[in-house]
Amino acid sequence: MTPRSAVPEAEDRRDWMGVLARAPLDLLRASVEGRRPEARRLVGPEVGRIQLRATAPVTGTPFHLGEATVTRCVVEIDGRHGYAVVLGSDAERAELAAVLDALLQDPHRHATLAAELLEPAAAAITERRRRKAGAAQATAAHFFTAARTP
Amino acid sequence: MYVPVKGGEAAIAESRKALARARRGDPAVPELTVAQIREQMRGAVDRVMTEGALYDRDLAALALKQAQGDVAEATFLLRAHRAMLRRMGHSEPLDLSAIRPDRHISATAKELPGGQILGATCDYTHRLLDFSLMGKAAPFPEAASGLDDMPPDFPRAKGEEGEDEPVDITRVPLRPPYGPSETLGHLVRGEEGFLTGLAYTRLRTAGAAHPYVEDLVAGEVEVSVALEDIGLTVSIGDIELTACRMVAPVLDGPRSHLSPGFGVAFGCNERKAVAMAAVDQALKSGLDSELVLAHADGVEAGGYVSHLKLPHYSDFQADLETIRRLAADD
Repeated sequence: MTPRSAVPEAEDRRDWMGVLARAPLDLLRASVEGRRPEARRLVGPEVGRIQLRATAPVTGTPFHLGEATVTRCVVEIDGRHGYAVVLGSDAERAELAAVLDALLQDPHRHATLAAELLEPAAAAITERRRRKAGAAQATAAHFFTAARTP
Repeated sequence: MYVPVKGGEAAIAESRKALARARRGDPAVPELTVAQIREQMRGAVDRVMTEGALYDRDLAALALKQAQGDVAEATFLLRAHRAMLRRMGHSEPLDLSAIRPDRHISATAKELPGGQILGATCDYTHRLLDFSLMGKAAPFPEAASGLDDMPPDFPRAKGEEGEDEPVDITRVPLRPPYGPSETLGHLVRGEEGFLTGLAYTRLRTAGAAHPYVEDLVAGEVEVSVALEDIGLTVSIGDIELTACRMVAPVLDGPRSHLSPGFGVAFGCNERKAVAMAAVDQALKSGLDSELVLAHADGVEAGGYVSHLKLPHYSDFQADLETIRRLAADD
């Protein structure tokens, strides 16, 4: 029996759920296919909608920006519940993320999955953001005042 | 008075087939895919998502395909689909200050931190037709990188629930007085042409006191939701937004000040964000809120105008008789 302290913390779970929601799909597929876990679907995958809330700058008015589709899935593997809510109508991603959420809670599987899936996925997400930020910054104009009269 | 009419089933069935043929166009030309629309008709997709009030690029692209590129009809389709989706709560308030910019400009501050990021804008093009796009494969221009490195930016949930609950405009009927939360909610989904026209009428009569774009930003922002079942607030993905902050000088003796306006749209849609900000500011300076908010919704306005095409035989007969009677009395 693994001591309680080896069970991943809630903070870790929050972070990996954020990674699973954005990870390249083939990476998620490969991680599940290699393991063939016996998952029982408890909820979904089902598509629904959430209200997007925001706060207007300056006035601080909270308002309803519109809605977005989300896909929700809950599975059970070896008594552990895997949970996923991902943005968009994407049943495959939601189910893969729910399965992997359950597997990542298993202390015997966590370290291997973290190395094989979470690290490369996080690297891919960071790299995509870096490329996007770099491309945007390449279009930055630094205007200067040519002449100023006192 | 509405009098139902019956019949015409065969004609309606044939009319639907005619619509499907019109949608397809020349069968010798390859059919558009939804993915092509999603990736290459971004302006239309973003507008349909904004006015349809549902962020889903694939569904908006599908709606555009079905509507033969008619933005108003596609918006109607997306709204109708939205009504059939199950409600699954709400996001944590989006952190609009944390938009990762693809574009960031200001007309009031010359020296923006990070520079004026021009991004993918048509502002500096000559608006000449580019006949090289007539050909098949235009070369894909690689991006230069303006950054050596970027600090690791991990997806992480953020944002606390505010004290004030925004009004859910999808469940509360639109009635005066219009609170600030409802005003913004209705303006976001407001029809772009209507808001642009309103902004234009205000600007043409504004004189020296016209508004300024203080901050215009387009990029990605993170969406987080609180999952009560597991007691965690998690990040579920990113959406693209365009947000515009505006200021207008209000010249009123010792009470002169700058009045703010705010506009936002899904995806990359500056005209909408700027027009909305100008209208939001004008509403604070006396523009009739009934005129704006009761008429800004494109689906409602389009629906009402289109209903004139439905049979009005009895109404029209009654009107004709009234006209004849009055004209005979004279």
